[in-house]
Amino acid sequence: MPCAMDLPSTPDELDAQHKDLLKDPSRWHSIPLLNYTPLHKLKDQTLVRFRGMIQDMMDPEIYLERYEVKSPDGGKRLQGGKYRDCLKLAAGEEIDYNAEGNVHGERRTMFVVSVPGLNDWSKEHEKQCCPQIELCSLAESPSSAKKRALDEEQAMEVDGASETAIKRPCVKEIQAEKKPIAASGTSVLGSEYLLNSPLPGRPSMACMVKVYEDFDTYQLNSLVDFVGFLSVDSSLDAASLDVDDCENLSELQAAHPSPFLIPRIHAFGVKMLPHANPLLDESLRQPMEPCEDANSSQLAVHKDLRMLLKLCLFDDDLAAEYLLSHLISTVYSRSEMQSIGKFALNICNLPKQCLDSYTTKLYDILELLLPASHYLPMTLETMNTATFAPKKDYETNKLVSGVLQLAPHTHLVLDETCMHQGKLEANGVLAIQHLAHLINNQELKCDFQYYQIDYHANIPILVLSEGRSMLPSDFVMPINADTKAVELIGESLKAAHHYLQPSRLQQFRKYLTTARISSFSVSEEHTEMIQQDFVDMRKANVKSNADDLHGLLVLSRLLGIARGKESLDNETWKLATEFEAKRRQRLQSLPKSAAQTRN
Amino acid sequence: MDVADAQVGQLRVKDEVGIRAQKLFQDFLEEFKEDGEIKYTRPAASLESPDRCTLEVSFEDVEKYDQNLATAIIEEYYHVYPFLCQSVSNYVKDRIGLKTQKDCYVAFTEVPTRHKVRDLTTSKIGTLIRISGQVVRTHPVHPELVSGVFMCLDCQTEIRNVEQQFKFTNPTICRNPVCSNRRRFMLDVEKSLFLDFQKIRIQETQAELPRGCIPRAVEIILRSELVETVQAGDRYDFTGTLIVVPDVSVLANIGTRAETSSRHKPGEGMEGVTGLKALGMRELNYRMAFLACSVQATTARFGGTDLPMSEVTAEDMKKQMTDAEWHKIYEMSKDRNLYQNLISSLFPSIYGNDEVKRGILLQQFGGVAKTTTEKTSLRGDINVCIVGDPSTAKSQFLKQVSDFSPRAIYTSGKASSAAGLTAAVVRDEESFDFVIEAGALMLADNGICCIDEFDKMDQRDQVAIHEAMEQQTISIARAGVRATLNARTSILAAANPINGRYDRSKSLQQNIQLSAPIMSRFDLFFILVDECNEVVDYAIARKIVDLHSNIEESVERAYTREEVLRYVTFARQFKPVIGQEAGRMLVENYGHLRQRDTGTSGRSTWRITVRQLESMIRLSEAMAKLECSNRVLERHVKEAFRLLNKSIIRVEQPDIHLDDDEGLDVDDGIQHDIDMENNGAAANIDENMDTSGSAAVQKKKFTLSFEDYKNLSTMLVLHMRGEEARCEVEGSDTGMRRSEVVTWYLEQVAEQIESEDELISRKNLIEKLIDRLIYHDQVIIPLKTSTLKPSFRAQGQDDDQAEDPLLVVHPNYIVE
Repeated sequence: MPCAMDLPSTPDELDAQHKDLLKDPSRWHSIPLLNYTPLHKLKDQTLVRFRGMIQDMMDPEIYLERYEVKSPDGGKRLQGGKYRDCLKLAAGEEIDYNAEGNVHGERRTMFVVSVPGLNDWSKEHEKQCCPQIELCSLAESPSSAKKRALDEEQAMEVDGASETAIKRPCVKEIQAEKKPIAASGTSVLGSEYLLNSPLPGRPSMACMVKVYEDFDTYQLNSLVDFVGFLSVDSSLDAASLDVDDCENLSELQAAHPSPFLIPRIHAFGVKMLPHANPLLDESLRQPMEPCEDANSSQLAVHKDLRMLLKLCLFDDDLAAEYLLSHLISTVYSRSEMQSIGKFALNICNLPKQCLDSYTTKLYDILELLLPASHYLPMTLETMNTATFAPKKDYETNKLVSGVLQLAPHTHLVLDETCMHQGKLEANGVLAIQHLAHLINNQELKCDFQYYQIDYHANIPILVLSEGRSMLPSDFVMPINADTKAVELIGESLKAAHHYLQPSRLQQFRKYLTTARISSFSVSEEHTEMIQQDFVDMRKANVKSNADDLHGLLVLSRLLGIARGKESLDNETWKLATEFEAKRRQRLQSLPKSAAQTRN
Repeated sequence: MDVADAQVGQLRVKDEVGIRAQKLFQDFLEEFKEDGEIKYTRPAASLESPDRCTLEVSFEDVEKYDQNLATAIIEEYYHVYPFLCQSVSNYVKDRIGLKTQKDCYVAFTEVPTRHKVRDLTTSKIGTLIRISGQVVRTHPVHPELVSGVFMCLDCQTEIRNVEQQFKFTNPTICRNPVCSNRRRFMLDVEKSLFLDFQKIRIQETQAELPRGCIPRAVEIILRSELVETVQAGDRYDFTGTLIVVPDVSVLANIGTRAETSSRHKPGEGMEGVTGLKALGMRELNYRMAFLACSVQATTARFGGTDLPMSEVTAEDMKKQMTDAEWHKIYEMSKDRNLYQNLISSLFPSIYGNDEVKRGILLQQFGGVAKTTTEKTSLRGDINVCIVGDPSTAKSQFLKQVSDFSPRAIYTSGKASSAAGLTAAVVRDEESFDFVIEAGALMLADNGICCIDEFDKMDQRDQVAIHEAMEQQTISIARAGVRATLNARTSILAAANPINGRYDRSKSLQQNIQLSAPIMSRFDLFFILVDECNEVVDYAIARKIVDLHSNIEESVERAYTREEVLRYVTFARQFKPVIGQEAGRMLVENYGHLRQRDTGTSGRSTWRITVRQLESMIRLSEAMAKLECSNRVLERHVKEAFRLLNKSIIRVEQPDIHLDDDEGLDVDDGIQHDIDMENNGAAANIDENMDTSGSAAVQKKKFTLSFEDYKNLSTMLVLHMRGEEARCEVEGSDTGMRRSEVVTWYLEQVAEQIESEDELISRKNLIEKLIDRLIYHDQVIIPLKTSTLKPSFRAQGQDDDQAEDPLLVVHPNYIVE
């Protein structure tokens, strides 16, 4: 870690200019990611990074920013308390709580979980980008001189501060303590509850990040990359406390879980992440890519990707266009009532003969393309039992997460083909309501018992269903399956997997994210055209309404972006209207159920 | 004396600020007079009872008495608090001549500034402030040791009055000079003084929350008389001070910032009181807690009220406002264009639909609730229902209102179970007690309950709503709990027509699935029909494209939302009285409505009843409130009538079935099986029309939308008026013959007529239109020779004269 030399290794060494150092990406890169480094390889008080989603925000904490320490010989000194949980004291020293020089500061704790639904390839890539720490244990003989030096430095520091008798848990202790943690009977809350993973099936790491400034810039569910000092003092665990008061026990333990389960980071550097794709993330050190073929234009990639999707969708070109649009959709603007840009897609009319495994196989392909996604089989059981929206637990003062608490751009694939007839219980009804609200408004309703609060979400939702989905959607796309393709779908999907060579995959992945975040404009002249079209449309069909225009605009935007365009042109608009007309035609031919409404 | 106590004593002697505050405060208690009486004598006397020990003091009084004292209390609250309590104790002792010392406490109320939970920062620590929030959690009440009596385990000396502030504190040293025990003490529980102590947590309300943040919570400590005064879910104001407590420990043994002499060695003599063990120096974290000295239910600032609105006067409101706010309100009340400006500021993003906006605006103001001499209460709330085609901004109206109004609840009739809308009796899981859980209607008490998809609502809910809408209460009788709860809620409902689209050929009742009793409880019904209109379409398209291109809406808002809200809350306080003129006008207008109702008896969909008169009164009152007027004037009634008319007319007049009318009014001679159903109307056509063609085609031609009907009749009326004026000048016959009118009309549309069939049908159309105008709307008066037989209508058709009468426009008819 050559660069880390310049960065402070403990909070004491930190001063203002270190913040500037962080602006240098290479320095940022050099800090080990806590997400991919086992805790026992890291020492207390060292600089680490953590990437994740803000899952909860806790109440402010007041801490002693500076405090006076009285040594037994009557001497006094000031000690800084920023970026640490434990006071630094030498044996016999006492803190003068009432000293004039004491300064109180305020900090906030963010409960951060590693990005829920992050797909394996993204994790793998992030891991590659993370500087590896070989340091294993002080007791083990280090294998390289470099590490030796490091260790010595660490040891020296300990020596140098020998009078400071603060209990610095050395690596050994941490390891030793790691095991009994689970067994320690004093903890009343399960580790699963404490970790609070939005997706229980894919547990995420959790970390409590304490921030010291710009408190109001943090938004729930946003993606953040924090740099700060690790704090894993075992005394931070409330379970180890001998508190007789049972009344608050659960709350206390929820606020102070074992640091080995949920480490603390005192952040002094923050980066908001616009997306979860590690391939395009400047805050990660990208490994050299020899196979980078810069010459392949967006258009070519678009064509290839469309081919691939077509292959997976029973040779249905139109459906492939819509799916591709869905994959690059994002909410890019919000007005008072609407979220503009959402593209909730319902692919229905899936051929019956290949229902059983098709949906999962299709998801396997999508999973390879998307940085973060989640597959949710909509069985009665999941609907009735799973927690969907986050709910505040006042007993522990925690926001208990739910399946829908996902970071922006995490694709949610709902498989309605697994649904059977049966009874939807209270939880299930609620789940459907939450899903519908999310689809319609891209807002997540969090239950605060006395009231509900809507948080902005940006979760593209794809519903796969046999007939029309029971959930609302912006676009219903009935598949027009080619009979031959239906027979060959197994082979097609295999071929798709073969086709997805690493280099091509990288291309697709980058393409999707780039497209998603690119901007698109509509010129004045085209605005006129659209207005005229809408008026004509209304004349032709009274039932067409504003929602149709919204749909058309979103679709034309996405079609344009997919083709690498920056603004709307006639061709794209025509294409969009044409596609919509075709889709409507298909919808017409769908068997209608009694309660069917027009889309 | 214990050394520590002595030290404290010494400190106090030196504490000049404290001593001065104590003296001044005692003077204040002894001298402050209100209405010639020393105000605090009586309250102090009541502290004689053993279970009372807190004297409530209005902070405003202190400010009036001595500004310096008030400032000192605000800024140094935590510091001077013990001294103030001491002066109260002294005062009480003097007043009631207590023999033993009784510790009394002071509680301040009406502290001027109020803070939000989010505003609490370290800078506020120790000062006297007021915060408001919603209670989310209450803990059980515990005894707290305030003053301990200890027994030295070495020499059995009793050590008294060891002050305990939030945490268990042993005496530092035995007061027996020969005993040097510093550690071994035992608490004498019998002799020590305990106080009730309760911890609760309050949370930011939804309205105060910045987007994307988790609501902030803060712990509140309630003591002695305040315990068990709050309930989870309610909103309160707390007056007191912010203190800092170590995070990890529990409140029973925390050290505050002011009292952080945490030098005690923990671990011994902990009977009865929990102790802070082994935490020592480790923790740096603190948390803020709020030590409350008084609790009040949140008062009526901008509608966020738990008090009945009727108890708040405009004067009170004015007091709570800053000068700038007050000026703005004054300015607004003088705005000539206020009505229009208010609606444009309220719904800037909804295109058109001005009548609906007006209705909703008046709903915000509400009428005046009254109680008759028989103690029957008449509601003042205005209920509005919007019926309309999908995508006609119905939900948008509802959402915006619920966003904007401080006590509005948005709920969907489809989604809510019976408990969701009304109230439910729930068995508490832990205590097995039955608890009444508030439903949306109760939550919106004194506010607006926006119910989307009203028609999809459960039958049981409809019944409950029924009661809530007229009686303003909800009764529940379930599981042995019988209760009548207040639900003084205005209802803003949106409903979809039965077949997804409003069928103009049917009546309102046939269009929505609501029972007549419920329908009649709505003051205003608005129907939004998705009409094809190029101009509107253009505007909508433009708006949507702008939205997508991220162009900021350049809406001209005369006032900000907050201003409107403040104004509404202020103006709501008025209780306008109906003036004589206005009263007469109300009666007159009601008469009109009623008459018209009976005039169309057979097919009327809307019975005009006393309910509509009440609605008109409420609307007039709301109009008067809007203008901050104490009297309902004629112009208010006029607007109320217009709006009511608008809402009813639209209901009453779906598509105009000319044939239908013919059957009813013209061809009385022919006996028709008058059927309200569609096929009945179609049958009429078949019988009436000689011209060939299927019934469907006929029907299409003889059914006019209300707009077309209006346009056509206006065109005719205008032409006839013109002709009348011309004739008057020329001195010839006033008015036109019926045939002339028909001919004129056919000339007007000549270009559009292509075939003979069409000409005939056009002719029939205009004939029927004229008939309708004559007999139904009474806009055109046929002038007939006075010698006609009395029953001209039956036989008139045979008469040549009657066949082609002279037509004049009703002189009182006003073209809209």
